Amino acid sequence: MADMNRRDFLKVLGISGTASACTIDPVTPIEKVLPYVVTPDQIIPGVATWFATQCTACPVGCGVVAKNREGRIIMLEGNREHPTNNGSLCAKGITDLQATYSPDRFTGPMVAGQDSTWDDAFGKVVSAVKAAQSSGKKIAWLGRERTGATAAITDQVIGALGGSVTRWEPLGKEALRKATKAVFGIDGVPSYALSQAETIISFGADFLSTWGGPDHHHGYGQSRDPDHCGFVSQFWVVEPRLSNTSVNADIHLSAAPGTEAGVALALAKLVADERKYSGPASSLLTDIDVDGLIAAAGVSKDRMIELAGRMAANMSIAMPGGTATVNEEAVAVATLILNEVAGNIGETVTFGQDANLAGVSYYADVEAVLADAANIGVLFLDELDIVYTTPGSTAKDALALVAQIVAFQNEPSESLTESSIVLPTGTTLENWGDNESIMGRHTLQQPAMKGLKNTRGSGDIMLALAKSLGLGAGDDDEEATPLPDTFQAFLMDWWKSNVFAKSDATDWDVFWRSAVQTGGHFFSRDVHSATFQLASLPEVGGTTDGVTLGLFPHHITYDGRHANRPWAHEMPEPVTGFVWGTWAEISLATAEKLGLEEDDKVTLTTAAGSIDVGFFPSPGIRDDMVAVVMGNGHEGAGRYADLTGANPVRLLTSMSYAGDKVTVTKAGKTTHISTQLGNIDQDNRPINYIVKAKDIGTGKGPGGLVHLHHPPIDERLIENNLLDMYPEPEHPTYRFAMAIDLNKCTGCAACQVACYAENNIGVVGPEQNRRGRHMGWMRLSRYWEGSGEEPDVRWQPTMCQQCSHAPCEGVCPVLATYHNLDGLNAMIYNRCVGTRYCANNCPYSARRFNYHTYDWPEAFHMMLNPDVMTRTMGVMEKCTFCVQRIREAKSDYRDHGQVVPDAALTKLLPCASACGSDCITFGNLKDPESEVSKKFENERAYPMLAELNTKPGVRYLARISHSEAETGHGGGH
Amino acid sequence: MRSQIIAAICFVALIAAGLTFGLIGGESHADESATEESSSFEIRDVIPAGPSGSDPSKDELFPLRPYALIPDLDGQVAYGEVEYAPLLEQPIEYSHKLHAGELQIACEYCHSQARRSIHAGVPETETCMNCHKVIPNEGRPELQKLTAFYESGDPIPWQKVHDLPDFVYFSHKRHVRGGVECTECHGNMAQEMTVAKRVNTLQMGWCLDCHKDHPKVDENYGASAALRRAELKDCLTCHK
Amino acid sequence: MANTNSNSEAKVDTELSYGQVTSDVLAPLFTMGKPYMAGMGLVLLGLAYGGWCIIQQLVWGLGVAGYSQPDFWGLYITTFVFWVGIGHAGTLISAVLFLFRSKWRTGVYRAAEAMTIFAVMTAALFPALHVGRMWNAYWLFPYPNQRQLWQNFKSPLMWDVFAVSTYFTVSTIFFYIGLIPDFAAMRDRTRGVISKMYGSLAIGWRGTDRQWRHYMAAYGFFAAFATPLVLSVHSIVSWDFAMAQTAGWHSTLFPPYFVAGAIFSGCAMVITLMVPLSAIFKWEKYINVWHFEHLAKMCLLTGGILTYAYLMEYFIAWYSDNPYEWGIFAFRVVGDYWWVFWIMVVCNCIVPLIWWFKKARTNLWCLFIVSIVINIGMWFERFNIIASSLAHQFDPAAWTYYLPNYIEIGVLIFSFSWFFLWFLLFVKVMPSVAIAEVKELLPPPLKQKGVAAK
Repeated sequence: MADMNRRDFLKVLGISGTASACTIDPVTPIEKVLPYVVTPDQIIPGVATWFATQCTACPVGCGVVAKNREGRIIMLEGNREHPTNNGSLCAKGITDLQATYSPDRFTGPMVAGQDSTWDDAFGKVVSAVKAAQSSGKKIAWLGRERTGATAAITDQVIGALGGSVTRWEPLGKEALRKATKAVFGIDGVPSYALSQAETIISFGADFLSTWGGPDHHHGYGQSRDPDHCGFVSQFWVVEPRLSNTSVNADIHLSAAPGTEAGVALALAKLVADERKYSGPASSLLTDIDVDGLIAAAGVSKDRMIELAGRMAANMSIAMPGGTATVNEEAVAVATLILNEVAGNIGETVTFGQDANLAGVSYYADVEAVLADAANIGVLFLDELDIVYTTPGSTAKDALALVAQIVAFQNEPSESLTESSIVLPTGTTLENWGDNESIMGRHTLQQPAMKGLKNTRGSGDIMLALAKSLGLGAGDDDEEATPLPDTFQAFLMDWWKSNVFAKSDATDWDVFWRSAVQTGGHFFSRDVHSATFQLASLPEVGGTTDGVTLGLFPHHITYDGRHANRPWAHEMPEPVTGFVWGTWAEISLATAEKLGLEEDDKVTLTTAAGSIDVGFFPSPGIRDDMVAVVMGNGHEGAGRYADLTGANPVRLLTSMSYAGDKVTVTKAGKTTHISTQLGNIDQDNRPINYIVKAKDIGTGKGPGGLVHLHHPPIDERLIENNLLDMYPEPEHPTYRFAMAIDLNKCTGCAACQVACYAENNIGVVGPEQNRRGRHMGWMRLSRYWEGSGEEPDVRWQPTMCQQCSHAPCEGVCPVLATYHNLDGLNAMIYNRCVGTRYCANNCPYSARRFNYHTYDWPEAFHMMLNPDVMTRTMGVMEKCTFCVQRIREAKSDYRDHGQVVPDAALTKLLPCASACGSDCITFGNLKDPESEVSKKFENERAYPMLAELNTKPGVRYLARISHSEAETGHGGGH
Repeated sequence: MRSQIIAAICFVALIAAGLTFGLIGGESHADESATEESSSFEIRDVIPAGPSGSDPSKDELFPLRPYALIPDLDGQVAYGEVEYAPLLEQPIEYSHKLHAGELQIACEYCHSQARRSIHAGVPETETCMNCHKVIPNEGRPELQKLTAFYESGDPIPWQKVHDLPDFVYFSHKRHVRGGVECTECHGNMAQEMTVAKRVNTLQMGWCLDCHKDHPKVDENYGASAALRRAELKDCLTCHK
Repeated sequence: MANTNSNSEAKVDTELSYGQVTSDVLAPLFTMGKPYMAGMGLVLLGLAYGGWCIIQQLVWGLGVAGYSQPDFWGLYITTFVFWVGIGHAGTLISAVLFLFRSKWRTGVYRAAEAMTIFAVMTAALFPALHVGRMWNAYWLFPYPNQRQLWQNFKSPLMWDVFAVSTYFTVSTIFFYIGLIPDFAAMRDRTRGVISKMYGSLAIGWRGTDRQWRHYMAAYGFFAAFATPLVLSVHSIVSWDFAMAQTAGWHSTLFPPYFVAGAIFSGCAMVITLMVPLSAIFKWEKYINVWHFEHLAKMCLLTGGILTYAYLMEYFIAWYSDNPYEWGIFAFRVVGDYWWVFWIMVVCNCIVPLIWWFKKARTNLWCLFIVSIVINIGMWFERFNIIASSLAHQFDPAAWTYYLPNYIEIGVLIFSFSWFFLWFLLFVKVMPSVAIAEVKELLPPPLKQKGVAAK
């Protein structure tokens, strides 16, 4: 682990230089090859090394493994050892890879906007702190959520300086935390075990996207899998709109904004009556006016009774509200009551192994700090863009009053003032660190590559500060041991005393080595129930007049912290397909009323201000609700962050993301936003099937219908084996194939980002996207088939289907694409002349064409995968099941004369390994025992567009519908 | 007769007009690029900027690379016909003949990755020093260069002698483990070369010659040799 | 086999002497009128602008054009098919009508053949212009190479390469053979180097009976040889679409439908070219309403076939009950491309009907304008087929909309300029009316020496 090795990493530019110079013009000038001076251990040029570390893209604190090729991290994947994400990694996490290579990174420390040296900048910090102490001013720390040793060092040093530490997450579960305190007297939030719930009710929490972590995907996936637990969960949402999570719902009860809490209480009452509940909450339920609340919300009572029946009958789970939920805290309280009444507490809703919020503050605390800004001598800003994420100009004004701001930032941020001292701390991949975001799960972060810029970790800075101020010399009693010199040493000490001590390990060195290898140490704590102690019901808001505004986080830019990552904008937002911009969800009726056309903009106006944004006419949102996506439209946070969109937080009158009244008017035709999804539904075409839940096990699934769609095929052809003009291609050893379970797919887009990261896919930007040049190899098709109470939104990740009878192969005049022995539909980029005939002939529209040579701005090119060629103009490209990974796996097993076993294949591909709900399975069809072969035999499995007889290597497992309505397989055809 | 003559003139005029008008737009930003980068004339300098107006190749967010109508070959190419293969000027005039030949040092002592990686690996300076620590370098300028490099801590900037285009996936590991001799591709370094020189075209046809019928295939695969040979002719075997 | 049957139907002023014919026809070759210069000027401008667009596209990639995904083909292929179509009439008129011994071809066939050849030359630009890496376009031709690679003969694009090049070669030979006697005439009318040039082209033609016998045999042979190609080339072009399974393309109707369309547009183009030609060069004696009327009737016939094909397409789509097929045909009528569809219908099926009236089809202005309308319609027919089918592929999630932008328009202008460049040069260096064959229509004069030569 000696990080001295990593210092040498950059000395191998030559060998991996191929990646940056990669081109398909068959002329390579003489290149230099620069060998190591001293070879670092673990590094073999040309062979990837994986380092286990943590993900800091959001507060969930997942474990990741970073793929190091010749000294650069070129890929992030989930750490399979880590209990939180079980090997999956969400779109945010993978996108965070670009943070390290961002072209806007500061090259070194800066003082008042001028480049500076560490000695100079650091000296200024010290003197500022001394000045503050002498003048009796405060020292404050304002930053993101940190836990473990990373937090400890700050607390220790700032504490010793007599300062205050405030850690805050703009999207923290503040309401739920307050509610939990009120209902159970516990400071924390429950953890939701979705996998055991036969009925899932959400009151607005975007728990499959930005509210919580991959464990939700995992649980949801299992609860939807009939083979896993014998039932298929029903997913109900009570919400005025449909979020990225709730479009997956079977039933959508569209409650008026602000009435969700009422619905929850009414439901609680019904459930209580149903199952004769007589617990501590019963006293509260006596005087609930069910009909009144239901009427106020405007939802169907029959549905409520049906739902109550289900909840009483079997295990269920009620998720709280989300950011776009009005009166979020009341809703949270109500859902906890509902869970209590339904007997979920201790079963599906548990405490003990939940988010570690001890060190996390409420927004009130932040306000207090800002209010006191005039008395602050030194304010340490830890990567928190307080100005962008808070409404009004409070933060901006406050920061202006602070004597000296010391910002730990790698990139520009709106919160930097002219006088700020900027200390670049390096990214997650470059430093030591750790987290305990979830109680008992200690995740370790190790430097996986040499820092690209002149940076120092915040821990090291804190230690140096302590040193130069003479702290930790052991004089005052709390500081028994003197502080070590490096943060790495401090981290190890902290782990020794806080993790090693608690574990049953005996030998520290062994423990430490294994911790570094597995990416941390994870205690499995026993979860427990909690006692209900709520005295009075929360205030239930009724329907309110006017149009209500609600903000929701973007699935990748999150609260805006990832806005400077081109991938974050380039990935189509799953529900709308929008790229590059901010949009408002408005109802179809509203859109019609305003006479909006596709490329119009709308102006949103509230008491606080007004912004112009694009719009999405959503079939799932109420007329009296408007939802706006957050995380875009920065001012001075980097080239990509500033490029498009507007900041909806500017519309808020207070720090609650929903509740303000908004007026929508039509603006000019100037929107840059463009959707990558052609049509709202599948136009009555038999493309994406559903299976009725009651048909499961009866063989009525689409599996039996493979050949029976338009045009009907003459049986005699099949009998006489005349169906195909050409013989089946031979697959001696492998027939690589993929099965995608659409019933588990939650439309989180992680697979898309993984694909971009692995395959050097070009980022084309807003203008090219508007002209339909999006390069993503994986299209996440969204078919919005239903309406009203049954949205019936179907996902379909569509990539090259690797057909055995591929229409694209026959028509290529130069044989640049053909079917190979492994069943792959090969694409030889440098043979392609670009007739584009193949793409015309692909019924799945899975091929992408390089209309230009899309280049990478400086530093991004260091992230390119040297095993995948970068494509230049005039070349067709597409998914080849990541042939480079297959090739590598085959080579490794060939060393021992073996065939690649199924275990090594199922999650080999980046999309499969990233998938949180585990719906993508890859494997070898020639092996009858392989998982994918079994899935191919599943009654729900069907090939897309089977009637074209292309014999794809991809099969989809149809979504299971609980609906009684007869929509048919093709959605009404 | 005038008509034919005029027709001929029209022809010439057409070519001229087409080209001049076609290239005209670039003048302005030819100057920019000249001031910004090397003053060396490149065709792209006189190509009008893309329809977006400004020069897409200088876009800070989404740069586009133009196609160089006249590819700059830097004079020489690291693969292709052997007679054009130059004897490259190396920072140290290292002699394979001496080390691999007279001193009988095995290839894989220095090129130690050949069995484990796609790259054979150019030895790190440390490896040279394993021996050269104890070998006196007085009056031996090449060795002094070596020690100088070692002490400076800078890598030795070798010139690539064998370099495949970037769209090719070539794995030393597979070939070495398959029992292909180093000399089959790199020539008889031990006897014939001081500084390495390319002795094969490294072109696709040349690769295929072996991939079609190399005796080792039958040796290693016996019964399934036919299948393996088929696999070896699959484009994806060598193309990224 | 000089024609022995009566020339009564040949509407040519029989008062003309052979010498008169020769001088009339060759007159334009020795003068340089204002309209000619103007035309050449326009052509040069068009080529210059088009050249600029092409260089743009070569350097920055096809993206400078208006393409989107999955609308991978657009204006270029449309225009390619359009020009191949134009290229039909020439060989048809000269070869097929020659075999049928119809008199009226004589006046027009020379120019029509030239048009054919130049149209095919124009069409041939587009496969190169539309590929993503035109510097690699030569890979489409099978040739031995060190890569030991071969082409894919399953691909209709390969068939195209052969079909078009064969058609071009044969038409050129046929064209040249037809020219031999007239080259001889040119030789005798000119002096010095030029005369030698024409002399070498005339390969020693003296107009002896023996030469005539061989000549007519050869001519007849190549006429017979060219005829099947007229049908084959556009059938094969149509297979580019019919062989693909894209909805709206995948139809056995395409070959006949495309051939009919090609002859339709080809004849219209001949009218468009000939009307001004005969007016400017004062050739009413040789090319006149009588010829145009026949061409117009030709258009009426093929136009009718075309209209039938359109209707049949819709019937098949409806009858197949195939959601994709029917989806695309409905989309063409009412979808984003409704305007393309209706331009096509109006121009191809409705406007030409006016030629059912003798008055209309004998009025030069009416002939000229309607023929242009027809060609506009035929261009939009191809655009309608290509753009709409690709814009709405099978998967609705990938639907898009495509419009050509100024670069593609520039290339379109380039193609027309390129075509007219050749045609303008042609009328100045070769006789645009077949002198020898026109003479055949005249009553044989009193016996004298060197008839064909004087």
